[in-house]
Amino acid sequence: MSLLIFLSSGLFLGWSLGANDAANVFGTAIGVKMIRFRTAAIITSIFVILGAGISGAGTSHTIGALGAVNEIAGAFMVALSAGVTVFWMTKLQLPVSTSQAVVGAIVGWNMFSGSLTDMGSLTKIVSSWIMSPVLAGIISVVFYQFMRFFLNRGKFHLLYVDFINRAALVLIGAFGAYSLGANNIANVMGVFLPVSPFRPIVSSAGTFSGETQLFILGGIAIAAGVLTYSYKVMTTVGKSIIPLTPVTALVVVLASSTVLFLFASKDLEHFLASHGLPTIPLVPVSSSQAIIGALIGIGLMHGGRSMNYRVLGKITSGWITTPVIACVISFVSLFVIQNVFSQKVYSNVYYEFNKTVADKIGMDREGRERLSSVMGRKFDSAVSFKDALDNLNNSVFEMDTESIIDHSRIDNIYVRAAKIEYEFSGNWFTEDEKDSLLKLNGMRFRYQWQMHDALIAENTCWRYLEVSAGSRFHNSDIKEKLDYLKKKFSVKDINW
Amino acid sequence: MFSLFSTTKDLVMKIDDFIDLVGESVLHFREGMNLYLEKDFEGFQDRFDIIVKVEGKGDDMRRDIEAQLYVQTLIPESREDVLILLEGLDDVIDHAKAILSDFKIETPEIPESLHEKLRKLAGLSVECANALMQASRSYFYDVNSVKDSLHRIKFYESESDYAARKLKEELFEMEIDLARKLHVKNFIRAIDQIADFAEDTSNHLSIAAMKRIV
Repeated sequence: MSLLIFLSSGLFLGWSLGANDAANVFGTAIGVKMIRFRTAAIITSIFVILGAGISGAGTSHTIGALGAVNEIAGAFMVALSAGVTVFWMTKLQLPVSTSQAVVGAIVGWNMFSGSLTDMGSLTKIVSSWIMSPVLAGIISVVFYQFMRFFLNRGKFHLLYVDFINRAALVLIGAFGAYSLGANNIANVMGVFLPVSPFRPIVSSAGTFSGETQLFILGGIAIAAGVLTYSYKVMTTVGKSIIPLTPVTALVVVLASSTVLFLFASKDLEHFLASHGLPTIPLVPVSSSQAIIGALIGIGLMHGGRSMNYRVLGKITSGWITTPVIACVISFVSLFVIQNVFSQKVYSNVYYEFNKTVADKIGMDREGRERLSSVMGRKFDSAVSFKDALDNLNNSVFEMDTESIIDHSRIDNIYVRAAKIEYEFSGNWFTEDEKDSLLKLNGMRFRYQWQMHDALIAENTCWRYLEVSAGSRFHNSDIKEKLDYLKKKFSVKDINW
Repeated sequence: MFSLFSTTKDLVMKIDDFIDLVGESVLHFREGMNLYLEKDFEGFQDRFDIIVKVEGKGDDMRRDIEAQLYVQTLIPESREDVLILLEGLDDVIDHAKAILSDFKIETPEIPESLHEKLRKLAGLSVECANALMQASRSYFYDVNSVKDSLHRIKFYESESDYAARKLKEELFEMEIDLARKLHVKNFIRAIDQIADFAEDTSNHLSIAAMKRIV
């Protein structure tokens, strides 16, 4: 029963996501009446569920951003806070980024639980506010000029242009809906994976894993949001910012998805790098912000007179307030649920700096002496450990605090291959990786890096490569796998 | 998607045919009027029968096209403009038929000396309608060239106005019954009105084209 309650917040977040983010996919097409709302909602729903069920499950993205939250009640509140924030923004008819709301809510949890917030994720949010509109704006203008040239030269019948335009809007919309499901399902459902009540269903068509079932359920929640409440934000995107024509409606979604594909696709970078081609730098971009940027681009190209600056102001302030509000709601609600409902919203993560860690990071004698006061001491949160380090680190010499904290984190890993047999049945882990993992079966590690070292000792495929565009995919893949394994094998009640 | 494509293809053909019908109807009108002036009433009756059929066919086609555009929610942004254009074109067909119908019912006695000028007036109105036809086709296929045809419509319309005025002046200087003068005048005005209808529709078309230029 409690499980269903916990799951409900993920479903609510999914519903809010569907209600808000469907506008990025079909908002402009609805705005110019090229596609009926009902048709768009049905297409989006089907493809969101397919995306969630097929591409969402079994990939390296399954943990999702919420994976950092280590207690289910905490995850429930974090998802609920993000969901409430996105719902609020949807009620105000503002397109916002759901994943930024999730990150905001996690920051609230980090503050509450004494965990450190990765400044990189915050920088990414802020830069996406600028990068998404700028890139999408430029690309939309380029596409528009190309389209104008093509249509003027082509002399196609108005009705054929209409047909192609409509078909393209449906096609891009369907792809957009598929990736909406595939990319966001982990944020919506990923955190509930360990407590999923679903068991694999074996049929003649193959095994239907519990993960897939959970993700399809999340996909259905997103689809429900699209079907019941997405019209409002679609109206904002499609009608309120600039007057659109069917051609500009197409240009806008095309520009937005191109930006996401070129600048946010790790798969593309991996493909280019593996074929020896120059890669395109990855930039943080969000689809909600890209679509608005593309609209602004077209509006400015036409002189900017027909743009509704009041609505644009509201939208951009919505972008900024979304993570902030999610953070505040998350923090306050975690406080309430912990103190009023006596729910455990986080587990302490302990840190201990000792000789083993010092050896690992290659600390010299001077460094060890400086850190002698924390040597062997156990800290119950990252913040308290960091404070202790900061007190020591008074300008005498530079310490890599981040590295020390990272390596001092106690994860209590107990490798049991049986726990990941479902993952093994998929193709995420390579054969080499599976073999080396199986050799570690039954072993225990205090720190994550110890497990990593042991894996490297078994097989060098686990080694990080020197940073370059070509190796980025490999490195992030290894990191995601290690984090996944840590999460799967972590044990709390073990006497070390 | 396939059915939408075949609907689109079907509609493109229907619209092309409908535009052809406008040109056809004004040619039948001119031919019918010439036959009337030559007092070939049998030939006139044949032309009249043809134009009645053309007009009926035009009405059916227009209604069919309009219904399809609405039911399939095609060209949402230009639909209203296209409907106004189609109705404007249909008005030209209706008017051409109405004039021949009036010739048939009222059998006006047109003085011999005006025949040539009346033919010229009809020719200008027909040219004006043809230019509208071309502009309409351009609107669908090559919106940037609509303005070239619009220019011609304006020219023929003012020429037709001028010719009608001259005809009326000449008519009222004649020593004939006032009733006959007024009767013939109605026909002069009606023939000139073909060009006026074309111009009215072209005014709308020019704005519709501007809206479509990307």
